[in-house]
Amino acid sequence: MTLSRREVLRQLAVAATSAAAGGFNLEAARVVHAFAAEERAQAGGYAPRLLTAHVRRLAELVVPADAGGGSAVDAGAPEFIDLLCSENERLADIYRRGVAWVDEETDRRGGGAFVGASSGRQTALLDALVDAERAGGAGDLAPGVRFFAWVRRMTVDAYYTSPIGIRDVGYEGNRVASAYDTPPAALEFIDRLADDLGL
Amino acid sequence: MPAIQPREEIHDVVVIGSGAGGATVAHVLTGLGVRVTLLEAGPMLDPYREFKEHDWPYDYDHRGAEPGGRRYFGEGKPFGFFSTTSGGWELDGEPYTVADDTDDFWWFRSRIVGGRTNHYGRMTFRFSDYDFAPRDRDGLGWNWPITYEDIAPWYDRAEAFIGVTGSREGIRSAPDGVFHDPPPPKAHELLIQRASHKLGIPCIPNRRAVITRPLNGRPACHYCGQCGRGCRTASNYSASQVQILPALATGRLTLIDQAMAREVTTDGAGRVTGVVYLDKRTGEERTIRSRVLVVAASACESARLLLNSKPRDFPSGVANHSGVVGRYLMDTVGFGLGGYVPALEGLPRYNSDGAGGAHLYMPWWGWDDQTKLGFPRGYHIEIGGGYGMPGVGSFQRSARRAGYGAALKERARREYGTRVRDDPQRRQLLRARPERRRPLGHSRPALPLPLERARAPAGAAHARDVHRAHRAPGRGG
Repeated sequence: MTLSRREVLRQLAVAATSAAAGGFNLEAARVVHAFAAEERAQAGGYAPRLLTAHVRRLAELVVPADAGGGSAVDAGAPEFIDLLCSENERLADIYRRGVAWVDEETDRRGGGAFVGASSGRQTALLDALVDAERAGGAGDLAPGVRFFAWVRRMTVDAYYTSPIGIRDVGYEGNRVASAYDTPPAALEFIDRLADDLGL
Repeated sequence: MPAIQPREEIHDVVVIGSGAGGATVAHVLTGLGVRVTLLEAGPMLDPYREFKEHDWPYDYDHRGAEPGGRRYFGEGKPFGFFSTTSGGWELDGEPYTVADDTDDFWWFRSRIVGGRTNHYGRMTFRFSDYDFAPRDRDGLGWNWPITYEDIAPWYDRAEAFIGVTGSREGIRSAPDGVFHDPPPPKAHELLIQRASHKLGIPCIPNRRAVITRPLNGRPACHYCGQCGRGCRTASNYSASQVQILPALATGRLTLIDQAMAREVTTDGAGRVTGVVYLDKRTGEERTIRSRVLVVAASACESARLLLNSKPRDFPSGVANHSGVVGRYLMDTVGFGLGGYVPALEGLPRYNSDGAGGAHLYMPWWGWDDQTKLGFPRGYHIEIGGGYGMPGVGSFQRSARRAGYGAALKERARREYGTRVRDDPQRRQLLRARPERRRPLGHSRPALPLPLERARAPAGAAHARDVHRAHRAPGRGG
């Protein structure tokens, strides 16, 4: 690649701002967006260094694959979590202790470590943590509730900031357009809704 | 002629601060052929390189959580990783103090060419006629020595130059101006507008410094909704792109960045001769002499500079014979109320990015009832909502409600775009009583700001009730 993405963006901006009273160059902008996508596709991924099996399995349970999209693992959640932990000892410590807690609790509930346990036993633990969280998060499970909140938070963030997560919820923006319009289907929906609500 | 050092250049005009005020002075004067020297405490801005407009979260391995996940620990860049280069509430080497009884005053300071215009919400309103005579209405503050009619032509000129969207509505609290066509309302805004009208509250096209037709070589908005990241095409107003860069192109503007003004100098006979500033790159103190000095360093910084400048002929600070420099600080108090609106589930997905921020807003409507409301002045309400670009934090509410697993994904799909916010921004009188202390060092100014908040809670309660009334029909969490 001879031209960096930034360089293309810069040239686009120069072209756009120097076009006295002319319209925005939509074609140039589309080229830049395609170029950026291509550059991303070529970028090498981050290789996990600290945490693997536990975070992988937890991510898969928190955001599993379904008809609407892949799993958080497909979205790079383990790499995301591992990278941030590798840069932040405080965060790494949360995960190290949390993973140890998950293994101890799994062992206490019938033997073995979390990763090797049946998926039924794994989800039973997560169900217990969610129930405890809804009950206020206190008690014996408190350390697990706090750790699971971290795992879920970062897994969900990793998924919904990935191309598949963004596609999953159907975000259609970050484009270059010559005009803004709310489409007729949305307008009709709001009209009906407002009528129903007596507005 | 007074004796001057032969090597020392005397500049025609030195301006301190490159935000909305300083950049306007620099742009207008250079346009008239005057040579201007501009001091900015922060670095030069390169919009093309620094703005993150159009970047996706997955363009960064940290997705916007910032290295080491700083955002998860309440740290990181003010307004988020993707926001434009700006400044902060805490700046290295620039501590400040507030009075003991003030626990919630955060002083945001920009340190970048263009100042806060790089990141402000572009909401660009006029004062009303009654704002110029507040004492006549509520006995607070002072009437201005000028009226709305005096300043209206200057509003016209400013709007025509920077470009502001809007519509002619004839609402007294929000006088009409010289407008670009506003973009049509977003879907959730139409629902709020219907609710507003039922409550008798105006809900009108927003007035934002975004151009919807080309202006002075700036292309029209391309509706990516990312004004807060900085606009590479300068389709919104920022002093850096709309005024400083063109002023530099005239060849008559000299910009000195990383220059922290420390003290205004005088000749001992009551005339200003220039300013002493700290060159932040070298740590050296420099003096610059000028015939005219313009102090436009933001309300607090300008006051600090004048009060910290105490030559013999100005023992109470430069330009402070009245003793009111640094007093009677006016601030805007804002707070947000958000809600999940289940009735919006099922709204067909569409690209709601638009011109960034809200396309509609609610100007203040209660001026006739002012004496019955229990608080002075008023507020306006900004609207948030729509299908924003997913980012770090976007789906945490849905995730917590669902627990985990397939239910979580299903819930996120259903609840995406159903969250709507009212953000009342209050015009409220705050009084600051400066107790000047000696600066701790050249680069470590301290300006204690004891604040007395006058009846803000009553206004906040009013806004909360209005929000509840809005929420009642399609209510949720």
